[in-house]
Amino acid sequence: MSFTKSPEDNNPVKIPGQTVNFIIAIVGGLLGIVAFFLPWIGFSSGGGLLGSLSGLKIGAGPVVALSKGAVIFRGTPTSYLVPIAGMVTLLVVFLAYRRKIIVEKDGFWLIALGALPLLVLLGQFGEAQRDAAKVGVDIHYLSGLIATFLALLLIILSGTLTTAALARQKPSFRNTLGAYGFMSPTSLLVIIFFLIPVVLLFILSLTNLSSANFGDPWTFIGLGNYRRMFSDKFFPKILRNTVFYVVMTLAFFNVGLALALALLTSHINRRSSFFFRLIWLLPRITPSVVYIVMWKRFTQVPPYGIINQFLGWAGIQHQPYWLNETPWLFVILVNGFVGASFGMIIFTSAIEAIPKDFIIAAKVDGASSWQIIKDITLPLLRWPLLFVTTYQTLSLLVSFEYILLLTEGGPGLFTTEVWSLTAYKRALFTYFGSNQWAYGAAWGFVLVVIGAILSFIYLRVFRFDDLVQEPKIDVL
Amino acid sequence: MKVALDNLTKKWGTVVGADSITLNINDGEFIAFLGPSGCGKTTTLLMVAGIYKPTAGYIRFDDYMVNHMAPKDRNIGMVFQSYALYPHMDVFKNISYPLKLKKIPAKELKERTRKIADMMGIGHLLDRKPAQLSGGQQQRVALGRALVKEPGLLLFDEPLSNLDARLRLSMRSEIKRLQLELGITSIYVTHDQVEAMTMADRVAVIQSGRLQAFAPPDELYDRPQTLFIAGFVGNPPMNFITVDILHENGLFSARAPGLTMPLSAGHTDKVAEKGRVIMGIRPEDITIANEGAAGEVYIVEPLGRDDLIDVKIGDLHVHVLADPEMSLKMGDTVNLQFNANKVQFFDPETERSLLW
Amino acid sequence: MTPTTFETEQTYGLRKSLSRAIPYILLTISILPIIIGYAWIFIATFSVRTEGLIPKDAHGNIGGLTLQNWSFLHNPEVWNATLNSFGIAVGMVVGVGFLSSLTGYALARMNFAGRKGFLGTTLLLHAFRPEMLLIAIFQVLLFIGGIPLIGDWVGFNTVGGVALVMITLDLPLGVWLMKGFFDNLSWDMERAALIDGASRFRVWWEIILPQIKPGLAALSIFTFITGWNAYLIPFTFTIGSKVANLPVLLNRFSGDTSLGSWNEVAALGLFQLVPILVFFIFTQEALLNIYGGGSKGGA
Repeated sequence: MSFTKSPEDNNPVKIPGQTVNFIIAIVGGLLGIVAFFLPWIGFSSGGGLLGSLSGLKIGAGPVVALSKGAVIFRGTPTSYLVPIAGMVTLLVVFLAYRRKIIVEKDGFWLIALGALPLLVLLGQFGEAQRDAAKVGVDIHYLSGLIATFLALLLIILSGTLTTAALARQKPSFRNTLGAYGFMSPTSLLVIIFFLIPVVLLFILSLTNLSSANFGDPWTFIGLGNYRRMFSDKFFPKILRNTVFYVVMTLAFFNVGLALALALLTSHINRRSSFFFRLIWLLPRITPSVVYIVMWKRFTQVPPYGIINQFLGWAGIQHQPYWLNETPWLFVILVNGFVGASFGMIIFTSAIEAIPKDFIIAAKVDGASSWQIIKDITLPLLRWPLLFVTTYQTLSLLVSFEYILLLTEGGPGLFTTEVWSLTAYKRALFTYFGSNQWAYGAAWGFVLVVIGAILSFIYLRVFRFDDLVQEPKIDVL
Repeated sequence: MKVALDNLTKKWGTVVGADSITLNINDGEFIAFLGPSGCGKTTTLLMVAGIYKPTAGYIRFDDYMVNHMAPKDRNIGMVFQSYALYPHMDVFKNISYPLKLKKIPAKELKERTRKIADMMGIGHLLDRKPAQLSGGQQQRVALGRALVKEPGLLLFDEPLSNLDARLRLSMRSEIKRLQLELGITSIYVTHDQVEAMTMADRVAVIQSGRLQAFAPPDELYDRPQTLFIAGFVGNPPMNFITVDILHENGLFSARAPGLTMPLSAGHTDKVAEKGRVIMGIRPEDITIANEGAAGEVYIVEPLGRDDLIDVKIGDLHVHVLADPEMSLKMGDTVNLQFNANKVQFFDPETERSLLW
Repeated sequence: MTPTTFETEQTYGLRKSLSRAIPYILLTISILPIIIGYAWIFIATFSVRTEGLIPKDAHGNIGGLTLQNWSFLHNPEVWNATLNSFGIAVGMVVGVGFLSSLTGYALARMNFAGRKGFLGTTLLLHAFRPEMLLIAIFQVLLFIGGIPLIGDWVGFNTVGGVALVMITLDLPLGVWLMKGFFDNLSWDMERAALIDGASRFRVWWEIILPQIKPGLAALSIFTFITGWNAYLIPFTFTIGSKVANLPVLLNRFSGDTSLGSWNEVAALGLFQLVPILVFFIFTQEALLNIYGGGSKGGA
């Protein structure tokens, strides 16, 4: 028996799905071109999927709708991308056919190219109705819809065939494919609700989109929103508020109190320390709305307020509505009581991880409890401290749920308004009359950049990549 | 099933797991991969199983190239050091799992599982969970699971090293008997040379990813081809002494400070040209006699049937097996007689045997 | 020079027990606001009205315990919101549990091209806080809402859309946690299953998942609480009472009621708290672990 050759040494076999690929690409290409002319034959078209995702108004064609005899024409230079994509697809198919070069990867490219105009087409129908309704036209997009779904079905079919063929041909590809099967649902969601929004947020911030001009093509105004943001009358106040809020909450609660709690609970017996830590966890797991109701009740005017009741028992006459009297105190308290538990848990486990020998040795040397904490525990908590500080800075900077519920940034103008709350309110509140999505996006995007940088740094510092081990099974 | 490995290589970046291993295993043969831990024997076995993908080289089952075949299609059974039983399934489900995956009808599945369980002597434990079993019982379940689908090839990855010494001895003979009865080709990975020598038809000695030798046990023992094999096979291990080959009065002898040994006729021509060689001799091939190299008893280790004596000759330490009745004590002076027919000679540079 | 003083044994013992008591005293003081807050909820729920922590009846006398605050149980709006809350929470438990164990498994146990990139992305996202993305997610949901069929289920202003967004935002943490659990499993068991004839998907489902049940349970509790408590995302992406969940409903009630009827708000709050407290009582240890270790990367 002579040595059998590895199949990988053989010439690549023909892929069964190839013909289907051709058809898909041709259909996709043609549709891309046809889509451009659709508006003239009674269909309306809007931005489509790609348009919405990229923030560019990539129409499949210039938006045209008939309105009582008058023709409304709306188009951008990017509208022409789709027919171009269609034509490129046809060209590639033609070249590939002539040269017989369609193997493996090229099949994918064909699908991608063919899919592009189809996807755009799919997205159109959602917006088409709205566009048409605006000018009072009822359009029938059902036939187009069916065509689109049919085309999508074809894409899926040919994709499956091609990948199956590839998997047969190249075993290592089979592994990758299987793993991607496990990864794809999550990846899809993360792309839609994480990655696209990040890009979209930036693009939004360059436009003037608001609920007033919603549905119109987006108009890019460059860095106008950022300029407006920095020149806002209240910008210095909001910036000051943000710094004050983050620093105070961090110092007194999320790190300070957390450390104190961890040290205190590690000096009492286990059962009671477990009890105290559990109670401290309660604010974190209490629904935020319920939690805020409790705090509001604390601060109420007499006879309802709990603080004032205690003050009354103590004989103090000054009994105001505390939330208005000292709003910052309560903003920080409310956030701090939730935030402290995170640091407390991290610090406690770090303290428990300190070898008992150190403590015993120090005790033998005659150190007092305070000296042990100062000289042994605290230096060993350096990394957890840094971790909690960076992590909590990040969350305090961008989280605003409790402030929104407690004061909504008030009382009065911008008293307790922080950066993230501004972004949220500008974009998603009907604030000063309209949702200023673009302006809010500018505020938000600055925080996203800061957040991304901070999280990147802390991944570096804490060397999370060292935790990653290599898989010990190669095959699927 | 015949198995052939052809230049089988596994690398992770620059780390070499197995380096061009080539060997042929006959149908029904029992093979052991022997080597120190981390030498690449388990890596090779996992490539045969299909768990690792070879970086280069081929694996063939009965002349079919199986490099790209999924483990489930290879018709193999494997027994692991950690037993690798499924803790959430009872014994019956553990053993019948391969059959279930093969979609064997329920009735036949039951029969075959029972048969295997009875054969392994665990028929009464079928409804227990693995955690409720002893180590030996767990190993039987693992063996049953590997056997139940009637594989063409059985793989063992140090299956006995988690058992205590007595159990190991009885399981050893049991596995050997099963293998003989069923006639399934088997590969047995172990770092224990006694296991390899007693069980295997042929032993593949692997060191640093390379195949050092592939031979029947007695040949490995009597005619070690490299210094590594000579040192690794046999217990207590072979003595190695650097000697000079001298030619005086037409007689060849090996000499080290404090000892001289005449060469036997069969060895003379193979070592004559070499000036300095490494001489190896097993402790049982040295006898304590009235004359010979004189040395001092350095340490006495009673092994029960024998005493292992560490004798110091000059700066040299030589291990010798002696009758306990001689009741040697530290500091005693003894004379050692070397069996000239049983010595081995190795080239100090290549570490290869000069004899075989 | 100050003269050395010796303590009597008695004062020494006193001082020692005092210093022992100090941590307890401080800790007790620290939890007082939490205890009082909860106490008020319980007292207010069952009384006509409260002044501070004191239950009062209509005439201002101490007493007036009642069950009338629970009349909201007859309100179909509340039950609809409960159903929505439950739907979001269960959707999150199933979605996050299923997806993150699927993805975490591939990341921990499979060898494929691009694995490092996926791991890096997971890590980065797991450290990243997504609140600011809501502005853009709003636009994405509006777009999805425009797609025929799909939009009716997961678009803007649907419970499905809210659940999907919440699932996604929790995925990086879930995946990282799950990966940590998978990392600690025996490789031999997985190899054995592959040799026994199982496909990788089957190994995951039949062999591996049963091993990490405790981890999966911990993650489920965590996501259930997150989903049940969710306020910001449902509030942002829903309009009207049909799709509101309990926190959104409660916030609306507490916003437009006078101070006097806060007791009904408290009752509704307690109603929301009950499942959380049940979880809290039965799974304390797991909760402590996940709220600390979870964010640390499951390491």
